[in-house]
Amino acid sequence: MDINISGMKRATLVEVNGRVDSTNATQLGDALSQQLDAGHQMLVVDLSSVEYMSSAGLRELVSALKKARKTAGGDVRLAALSPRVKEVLELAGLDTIFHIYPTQVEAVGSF
Amino acid sequence: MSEERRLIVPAVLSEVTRACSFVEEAAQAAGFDERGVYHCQLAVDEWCTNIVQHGYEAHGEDDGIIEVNCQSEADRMTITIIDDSPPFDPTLLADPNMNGSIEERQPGGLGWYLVKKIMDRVVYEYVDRHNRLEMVKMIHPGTYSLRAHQVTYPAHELRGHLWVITPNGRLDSATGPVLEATLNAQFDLKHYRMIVDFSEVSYLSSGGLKVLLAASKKIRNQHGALALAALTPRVCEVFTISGFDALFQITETVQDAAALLTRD
Repeated sequence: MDINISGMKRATLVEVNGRVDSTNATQLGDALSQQLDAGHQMLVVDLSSVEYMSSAGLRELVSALKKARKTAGGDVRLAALSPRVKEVLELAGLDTIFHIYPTQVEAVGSF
Repeated sequence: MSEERRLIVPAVLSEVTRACSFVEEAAQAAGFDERGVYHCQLAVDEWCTNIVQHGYEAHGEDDGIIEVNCQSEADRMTITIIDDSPPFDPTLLADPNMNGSIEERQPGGLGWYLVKKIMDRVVYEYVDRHNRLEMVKMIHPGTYSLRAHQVTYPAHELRGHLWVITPNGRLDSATGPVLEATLNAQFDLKHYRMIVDFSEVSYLSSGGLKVLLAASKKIRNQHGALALAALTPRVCEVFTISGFDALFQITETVQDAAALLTRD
């Protein structure tokens, strides 16, 4: 898994690439909390290149979301989920908690 | 047509990925579509991660192993995962709160919850000092129904109003319903004098015992009689260790059981 972070005018874009499971989910969690700690409370996580995610990845996304929403206007929004990752999110009942957008552009634009 | 694959890995997270690839390949070979393959892989990932983190690491053990078996048949794949960390029955876990607000969501239990949702049948047992999780995934979604596979064991009338039921193989929480269905079919016909012939039963777990206890109660209420015959030493031990031998009439042979029940 690798993670690309780019600061944009409206939000910070976190592009994740590869498999997210229990062996590396904390890397994703660390990357997200680093951004939040640095005062970037508006995050877009682009998951278009993640073909596999287990509950370990979901947990990191949820804790980042909790942290972000503590600040007014802060949020973690998800973009471009593959059908399988979307299904896992739905099965875990998290699709109602996250704002999910079909594309990166829409997610960034939503802030 | 059945194919079996087996993998044994050290119980560390980096090896869980190997277990995932192993199951991914087995699921592809079994004929699952991409979604089914994902589900098989995810279930194994979640459970093995659980074993490593909560089974071994939490108990300070770092030399454990995990065994993964994939058995594919025409319509399904059965994945069995065995480990020897301390007993952990996931079926006792409460489901995570799926509807609450974000603050109410707790991180625990999500992996197991996903396993239950994506597999068609999940049976946990602690056998011979091993945790054993058996998961069944049907190749074509929606074709699985317990009832459709719910056969009954053979039953025959030994003599007037005395019936013999002959279960076989393992009597556990997976096959308990089959025994239950067999007994209920007899009860429906108002047969309450019964011998269960154990000669072909190789293994009995609490899942099977539970069914026998319920049946014994029903038979007592109907003033019938029940005897268990021809138990193998290992099965017999389940009764003596649990103390349930006091609740059943146990005989060496079916003939002995018949004599006992006729005398009553």
